[in-house]
Amino acid sequence: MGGYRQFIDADELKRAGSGIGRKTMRLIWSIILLSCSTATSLWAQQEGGAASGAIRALEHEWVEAQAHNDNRALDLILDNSVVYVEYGQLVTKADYLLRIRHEDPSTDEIVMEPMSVRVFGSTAIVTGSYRETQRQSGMRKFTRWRFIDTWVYKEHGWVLIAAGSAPIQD
Amino acid sequence: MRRGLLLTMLLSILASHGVSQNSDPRDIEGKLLALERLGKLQATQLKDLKMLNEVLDENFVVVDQNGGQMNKAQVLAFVQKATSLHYLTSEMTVRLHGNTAIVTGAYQLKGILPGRRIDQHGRFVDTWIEKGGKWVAIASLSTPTN
Repeated sequence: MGGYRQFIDADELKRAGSGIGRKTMRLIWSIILLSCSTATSLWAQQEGGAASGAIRALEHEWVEAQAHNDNRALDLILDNSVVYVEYGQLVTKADYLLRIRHEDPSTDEIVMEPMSVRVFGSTAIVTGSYRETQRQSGMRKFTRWRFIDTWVYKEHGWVLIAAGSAPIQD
Repeated sequence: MRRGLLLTMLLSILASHGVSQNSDPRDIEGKLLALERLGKLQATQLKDLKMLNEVLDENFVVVDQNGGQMNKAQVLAFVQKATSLHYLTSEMTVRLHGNTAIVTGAYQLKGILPGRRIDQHGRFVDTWIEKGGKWVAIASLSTPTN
């Protein structure tokens, strides 16, 4: 009986001990999980920030490449199945590169305005506006455009998969 | 009757659009086309804001054919405010890039807004992503056809 009682006591002690252990373990796990979640959140923010910076740089590279008929750079920026809507027409990568190759860069000038980048994991949406000056037969035509570009992160980095713009009506 | 049929079709699509992780690309394309076609029709014609709320991501952004920009709340308010709206789509194509999809097509938007009538034709480019097992629209651009 005594032995049984002792056994019970020992068991209760063990349980009491494991209860303290559980509480401590729970606290430790909470701290670990909280640290992990904070670290993950910070990492995600940093990743988002890095992605946003890379995409902004690519947007500027795109404008530069177009201004200099740099088809090699454009080929790297644009995904092979990119969809580009230009003046209400759907344009493929091949059509776009062909147009750029034969375009006189002095006839078209683009000035970028502030843009906003939203990152959704491996997809990013860029919205913004730009001013376009077209020179034809000694005349200048100014148009302000609002655009949406979609980028995805593929094997070798961010590539443009869709782009389009609409003329801003004043 | 027609409304009931549309609603039934849409509900079945919405109910199934969550299970797409390992789906055949053709199934995903079919679902996205149905969501585009019926979703826009349902949302604009029947002012189904609940449905719109489900398919538009919280960070959804739209650029309309006048170059105006709206967020999700503004789109919902626009649809709610309109006296009548008819949005018809055609020539739609889906391009899949993993869990991101680009849908392009032609559209016709006719309607009556407070104080004005609209009749627009153009092209659209919509971006969808798979988020939490569901396809949601994150961006939409409309531009006039010349």
